[in-house]
Amino acid sequence: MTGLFDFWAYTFMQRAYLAGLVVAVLCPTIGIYLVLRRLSMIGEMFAHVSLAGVALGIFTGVYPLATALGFSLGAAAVLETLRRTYRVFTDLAIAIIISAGLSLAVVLIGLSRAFNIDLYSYLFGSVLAISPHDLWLVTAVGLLVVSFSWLFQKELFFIAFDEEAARSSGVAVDLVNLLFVAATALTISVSMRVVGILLVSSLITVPVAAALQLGRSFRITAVLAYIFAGFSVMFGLFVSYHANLAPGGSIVLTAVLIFVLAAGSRKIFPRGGRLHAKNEILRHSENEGLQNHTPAAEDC
Amino acid sequence: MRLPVLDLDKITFYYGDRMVLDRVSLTVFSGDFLGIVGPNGSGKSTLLKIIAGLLRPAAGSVRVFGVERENSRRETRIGYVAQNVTSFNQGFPATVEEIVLAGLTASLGLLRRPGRRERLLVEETLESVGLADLRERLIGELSGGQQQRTFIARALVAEPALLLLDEPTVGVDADAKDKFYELLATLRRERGLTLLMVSHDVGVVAEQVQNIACLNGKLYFHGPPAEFRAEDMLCQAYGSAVRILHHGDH
Ligand SMILES: Nc1ncnc2c1ncn2[C@@H]1O[C@H](COP(=O)(O)OP(=O)(O)O)[C@@H](O)[C@H]1O
Ligand SMILES: [Mg+2]
Repeated sequence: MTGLFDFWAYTFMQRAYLAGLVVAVLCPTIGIYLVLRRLSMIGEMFAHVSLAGVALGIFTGVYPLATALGFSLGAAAVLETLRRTYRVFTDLAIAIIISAGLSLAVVLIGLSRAFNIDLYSYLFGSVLAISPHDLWLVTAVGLLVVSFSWLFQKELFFIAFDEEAARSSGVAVDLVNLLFVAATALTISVSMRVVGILLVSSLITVPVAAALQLGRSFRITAVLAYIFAGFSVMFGLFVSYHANLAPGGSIVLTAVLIFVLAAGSRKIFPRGGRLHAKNEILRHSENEGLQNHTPAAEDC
Repeated sequence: MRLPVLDLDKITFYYGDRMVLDRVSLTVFSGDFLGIVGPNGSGKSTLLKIIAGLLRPAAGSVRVFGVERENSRRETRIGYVAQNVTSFNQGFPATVEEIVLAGLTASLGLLRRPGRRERLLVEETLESVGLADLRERLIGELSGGQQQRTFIARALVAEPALLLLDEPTVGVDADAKDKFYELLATLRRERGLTLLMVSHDVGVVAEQVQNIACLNGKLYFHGPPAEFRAEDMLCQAYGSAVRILHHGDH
């Protein structure tokens, strides 16, 4: 009667899990390239801009996910314009757009007079309140972004590793970058429905960061990132249901825990194998003061 | 008569309003090994980037096999290995094999994924640069010389006719340097590759190349190393380098 998986009988939990799964695939798909290109802050940027979009949606009575999406795509265009036409550094351009998004959100929230429950659900995620409508949108965006990354995988990889070499060899770098930024905007707008605006960029970066601790190739790193994100969503939802915790927080906390474990296990089993392990020992013995714990020294 | 692979005609280039290249004209024939020397800041890298299609000259033309190069179009007959190519994010999770495979991205074209044929090409290329045993290693775990060869393999895998190398031996130890020049000789012999190598190490370059070009904003000399001496009055910027060359001459 009180089995651990009783929740599966509720359609709202089924929807939560389905939407969560889509997001668990989406976030690392985009996240791995964002992290490797050191553009993690773009996730933060779209999240803040989406907040303004949601606030506008609520204020005007338009479907907030749609306004958030529109705002994100607009921000993507502004980012490219700032970078190319005005030659603003990428990180500075991102900071400017974050400021614009956040301040606009604050103003719009102020205008709507009340910090209403709807806005709250976007800020902190409301995976348990996902409507069939939301689920359709999340799934459609999921399919779109995943097929994009599948079809453009070799370009995305090459550009992430060496944009100049990709360009000189004739890869359509500008086109791929444009599509990638749009895919990122889409990903963040729909993911925020599940984990919330405040945590969406965490789900984009943390599973990838954990995978980077262990991956011995790009392919393995990507697979690990999917596994970690998937597990975080599944386990986070499970725990949140049983312990009555906020789902977004539980999901991201699980991801952070995985990162800590991955980073810890890397310290014990250095990923460079034998050669790397020897270097570790050398480095450790150079620091006389830290001699007491040299886990790397034991495994070779 | 040998085919001109590359034909530069009065290339002029500015960064802002500072002229870096002043009407540089140069023809490279098939099978040639041309070394471009010149002091730091003389525009060597800029010239290579123009040939590679990364920069657009203010005036002048770049012709590849007699056809004007369009910067936006893919040009798989030219391979380019940038200066400081090894200063990438050393923690990047990519194997040697994955990086070399990336070299086929443009020739595959959009929407096509690499298959069996591409994997075979990668394997052959790794064999020819002597990295076959390291194919599954993470790039960050290789030595500077091995990384350098990985990037040369990435350029070679697309089977270019002309390979551009910008200061390829900087930061590579002496032993790896010798191996590197051996590799270049083999590639020239076996693939009929035309090479254009930028360096500031005139002494070494003069021993390796067939022709030498001295660049310092303008092109001061272009011809076989043996004649470089006679022209040293013209290559104003390179007085000291010319003396080094006398020792290396035999
Ligand atoms: N992106 C750039 N913007 C402005 N000036 C540049 C840029 N790149 C190079 N320069 C300048 O152009 C000149 C030529 O540079 P470069 O082609 O790199 O010379 P070299 O490779 O011969 O050392 C140098 O004075 C350099 O400072
Ligand atoms: Mg240079």
